[in-house]
Amino acid sequence: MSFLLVRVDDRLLHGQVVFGWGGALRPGAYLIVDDRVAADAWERGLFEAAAPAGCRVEVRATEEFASGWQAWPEARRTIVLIGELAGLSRLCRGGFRPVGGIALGGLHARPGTVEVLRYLHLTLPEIADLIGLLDAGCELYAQDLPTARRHGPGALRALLAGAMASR
Amino acid sequence: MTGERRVPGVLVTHGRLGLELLRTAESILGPQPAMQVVSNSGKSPEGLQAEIEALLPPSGPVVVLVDLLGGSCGHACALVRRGRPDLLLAGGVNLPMLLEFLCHRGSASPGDLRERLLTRGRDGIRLLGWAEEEPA
Repeated sequence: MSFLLVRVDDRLLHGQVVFGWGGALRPGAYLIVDDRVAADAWERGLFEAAAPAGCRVEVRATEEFASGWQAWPEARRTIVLIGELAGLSRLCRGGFRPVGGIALGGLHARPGTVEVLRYLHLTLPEIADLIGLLDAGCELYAQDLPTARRHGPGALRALLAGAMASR
Repeated sequence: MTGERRVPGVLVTHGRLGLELLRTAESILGPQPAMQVVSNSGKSPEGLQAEIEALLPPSGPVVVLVDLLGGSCGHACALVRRGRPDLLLAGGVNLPMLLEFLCHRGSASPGDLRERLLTRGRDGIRLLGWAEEEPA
């Protein structure tokens, strides 16, 4: 199954996504895959109300997306936004392998994180988990904007290993 | 303008936009107490929300001005607004709106202030040229 873009971003739907990626890819829908937002009607409503003109915003819990991604309607016009690495990890370990790979696009500084790239801050367990996903054949790459450099799976692995070794 | 009645404000923006907006307003109006600036730069959604919450008065009217609703700043502000009926969230802040807020937050009623922010922010946008009708 090929989506327009699959992106991991703790801010989910925001300016970089709507203006940066949305402007370049012209999606018909944004699909937010995030357990916390799916369980919170207020926050879900905020994202749905923030839908750009001509676009639909949908929210799904991780498990629901895990069982339906292979036959997702209009996948080729959909940008998938995953908010949490834990969710990504569960999806990938359950066989999530979208054509075109999965972009790590924005994970910001939190207590205990190290800076892997300016837009990619991870804890050591998260780094180990991502290396495990790469080992399992997940096509992960790092790229924040369409015009920015794309760090493919090999380069990403080197960045992750370097960040781990620096601690 | 009496200090006791001045409605506090929090300006939430991308990058250094808020800092420079306030600095510019202060160069026009002089120093502005009870005015806080928050940037989203490098912050997680939870971190940004916590920083805004920490700057709000525990109760009473407050105005949060944000550059873009539907972005990370606007989203954090909208989450902060939950359970705070005395918080007015003003999206799409520009210099005319900010100046209007700073000039009238000590005297206008909440309803009047709300109307002023909307009207001045919107009417501050005008296009001259390329136009079918241009004032003589």
